[in-house]
Amino acid sequence: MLEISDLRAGYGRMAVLHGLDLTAMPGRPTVVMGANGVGKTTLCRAITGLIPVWSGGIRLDGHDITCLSPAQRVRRGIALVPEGRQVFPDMTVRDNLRLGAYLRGEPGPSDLEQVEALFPILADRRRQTAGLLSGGEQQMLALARALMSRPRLLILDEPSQGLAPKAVAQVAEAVQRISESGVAILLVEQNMTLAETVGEWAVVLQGGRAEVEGPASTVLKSGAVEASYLGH
Amino acid sequence: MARIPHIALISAVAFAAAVAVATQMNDYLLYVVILWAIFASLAVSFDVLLGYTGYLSLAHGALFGLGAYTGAIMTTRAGAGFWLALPVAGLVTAGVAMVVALIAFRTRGLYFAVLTLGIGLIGHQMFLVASGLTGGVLGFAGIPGPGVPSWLPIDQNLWNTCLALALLLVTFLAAQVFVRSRLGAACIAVREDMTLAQALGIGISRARLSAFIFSGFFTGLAGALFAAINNFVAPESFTVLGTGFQLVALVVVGGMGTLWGPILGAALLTALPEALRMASGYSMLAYGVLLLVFILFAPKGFAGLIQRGAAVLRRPATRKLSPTKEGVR
Repeated sequence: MLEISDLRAGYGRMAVLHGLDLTAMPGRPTVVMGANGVGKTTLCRAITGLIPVWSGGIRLDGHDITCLSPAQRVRRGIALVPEGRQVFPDMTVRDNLRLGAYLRGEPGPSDLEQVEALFPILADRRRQTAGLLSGGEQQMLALARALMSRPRLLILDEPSQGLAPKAVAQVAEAVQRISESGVAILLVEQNMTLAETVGEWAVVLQGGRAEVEGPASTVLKSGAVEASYLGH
Repeated sequence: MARIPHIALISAVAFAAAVAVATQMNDYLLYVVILWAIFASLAVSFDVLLGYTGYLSLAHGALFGLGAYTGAIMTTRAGAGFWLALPVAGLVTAGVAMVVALIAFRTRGLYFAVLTLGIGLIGHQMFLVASGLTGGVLGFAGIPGPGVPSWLPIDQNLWNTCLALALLLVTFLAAQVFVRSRLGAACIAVREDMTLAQALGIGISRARLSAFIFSGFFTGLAGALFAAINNFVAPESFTVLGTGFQLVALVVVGGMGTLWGPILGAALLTALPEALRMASGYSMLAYGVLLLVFILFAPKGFAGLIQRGAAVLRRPATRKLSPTKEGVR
């Protein structure tokens, strides 16, 4: 479904991704591991179009999307849950969700019901401003908001960041349910527990490239992740 | 958020009340009301840009002047009537605002403010230099006023007041509709977090561009009406340091991002210099002190004070959770 080949990207004159290859597909949640600074967030931004790609290709269902705007990519079914559980703190939970469906105009009641069924806590907090939610709840809201665009590929950039273990478990459960509903998952993580619970396929990034790749059960136990952190 | 029909009804009642009060006023008071209504219109449309997208433009003093000179040239040289000159001035200003915005939105934050400051200075200088068109430093005299319809048994000053109040009404309602639209929601998202807005597929350039053009159009209307009512305009009315910064002050003192706050801000800051006219040296002093007091003690402006007061009155027992936004941020 998502195929990335020989992707190069970076900021200013500094290259971060040096020819990265990666695929993601429904039914096989892919987890991308790697130390800080190897290019995990850059990868998320390149796929969603928030930064330009220097060379290489990003294809979605066989169509080249490398040069599309972020909005066009959202329209084609890519949604991002950005790093640092970003919600609009002064807006209500409902208004946050509405903005997730921005490109589709006003969301139908069924959309809101669906995500509220998936995250009951958001139904209880509907009228509260998002800034008053707990960290775990804000992450749920960010997830739910991403789902409002009816994505086929959901990219999560370190959703466990700054969350208590219990909240991480909730995120894991939610991502699994989303995956079961047929959405392709690309999870960028440093948290081993979350990676092991959700991931079916694992990619270890090192130096802006996919260093090791394989079934999550073997890759995550092989020591490749530890090796990438130690720089071997 | 209150719904549009309710707001329209309340605004219409307020408008009618204001006109009724105006019929009892002398010409001097009418002139103060006109100044207030025009600056309130400016402040409301400026708030759509500053309060909802977070971009601080210092070019709006010049845009106000552009509307005024366009209206003046239309009604004198081109021989058009006031009711044709008014929308043309709005459209011309909106068009120029679009060009300014396309250049200025390549930058953000301080850089945006400084870039628009440059445009504001250029605009003011053009009014001085292009004396063939604008009359230069001597000003543009002999601008025909908006004639009173023959069926109305009122004098020119009262009619001018009605028009200024009507402009405020229309600007306010249009702004309410704009900020509730999808574009308005997009503007707020851009203000809160640009990258996040982009990631959600929100077209940030279209949102902020439309807010700038919106403010440009109504700034142009206000300019043309200002010129017609005064029968005279001069470049000194459209400086960056005068009108440009004054607009910022009106919106901040009134309460950014509320639309109705700036109307109160304009009332306070128009009435004060007039009230202190006898002691002219102290008038600007009081103005400055007022700005200080508001920024220090009521950063959310007049509107913030009123909202806080209303919240206290509504539920005196459960004040602990009244979400003071400053605290959350």
